[in-house]
Amino acid sequence: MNVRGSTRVAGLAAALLFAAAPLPASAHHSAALFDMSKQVSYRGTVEKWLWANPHSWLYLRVAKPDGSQEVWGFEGGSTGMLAHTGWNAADMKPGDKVTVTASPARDGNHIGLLNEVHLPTGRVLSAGAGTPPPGAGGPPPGGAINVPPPR
Amino acid sequence: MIKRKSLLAAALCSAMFALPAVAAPLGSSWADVTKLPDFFTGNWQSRMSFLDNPSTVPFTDQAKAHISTYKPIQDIPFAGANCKTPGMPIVQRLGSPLKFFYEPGMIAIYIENSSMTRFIKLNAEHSARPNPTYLGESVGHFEGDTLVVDSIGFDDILLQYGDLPGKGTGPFVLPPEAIFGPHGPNLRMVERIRLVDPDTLEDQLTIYDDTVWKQPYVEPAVQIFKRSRGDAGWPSEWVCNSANILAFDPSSNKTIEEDPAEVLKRLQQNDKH
Repeated sequence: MNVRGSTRVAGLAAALLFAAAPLPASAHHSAALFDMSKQVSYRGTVEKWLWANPHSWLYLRVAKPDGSQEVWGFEGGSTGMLAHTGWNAADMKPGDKVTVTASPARDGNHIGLLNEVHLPTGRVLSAGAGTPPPGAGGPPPGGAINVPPPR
Repeated sequence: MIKRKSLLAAALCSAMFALPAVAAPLGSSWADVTKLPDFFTGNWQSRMSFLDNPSTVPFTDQAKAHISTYKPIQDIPFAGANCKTPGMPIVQRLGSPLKFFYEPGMIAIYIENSSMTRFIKLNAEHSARPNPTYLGESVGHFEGDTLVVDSIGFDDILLQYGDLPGKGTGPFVLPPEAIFGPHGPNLRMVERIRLVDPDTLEDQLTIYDDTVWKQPYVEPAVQIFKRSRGDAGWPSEWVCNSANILAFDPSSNKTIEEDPAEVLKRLQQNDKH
């Protein structure tokens, strides 16, 4: 078990606020668990889509270049916030091939703050921490920057 | 003679009907729902940091003594295994929306992020001995288009005194930047809630606690909420840590994160049962 400090509630809430109103990227990230100045893409196979409070989690099995595999966990919003923004508990099932964009953990652990999921159907679920109400505008959490090619 | 008595009775009746009727205050009847500002359609999403920026309200000596030995926290107890509510006022700004309801004599506010509901008794007095609660005992009345809510009787809420020196100046204040502490027995919160425009609600909060501040603590920024309508404004349930995937270690003041592979293994084992 890996023990470390975090501000998970703050991180998710910050991401939500970020989605709601554009703010300088450096404004509130100094102590956050996730580096929200970055977004990284991960392609993998769904192991579990956990629809839960306080936050939902998407677990993917991701293939490494050497052929080995590792499990990654991506933290999303609460069930209510996700439902408000068009997500559903049945959106993903084990075995689905998806591509995720997420803000990675600062310490290199295999977790990230979920931003987008590209489903096999072509549909895109966006802003894992919830999106603003219609008309509020603003970019997704962290903005679309520093996105390397899918792994 | 009879005619004179009849005239006198008629005059008395006229006088009675001419007396100005005492109107029941707004929020007393079902008919009032058409006169109230529309807090009720859809729900309201906070647009504010859930913690406050620094304030200039001077601290009491008691608060200064607390601050002098204060150790910052990594996260709020709500992030822990039991999702302990921070109570008022932070619970209203944690990231999920508020939903207002009305019945004559009461406005209720469902706080989705914790599935708690505030019950505000309209046009009423506080009870003599309110039991401690995390949302407080609230009474309210309308002053024009503004709902004024007065709350007392608080339990062990997460009360923010202010921010550590040089911290909390950004638009989103993190828990390690803030100072929290106990409240006094007479803690009182007064909110002035009104619509700024049809889809913007503001909540101006003043906190009174003479064990913490020498003057009333007026929040540095008015809390702003935006309305969601239709499906996006429909309330949801909230069950804390429904998948048992997080834990909080109070002794080390850390949130414990497990290797996602280990969490997944446990979740998949649970699925088989």
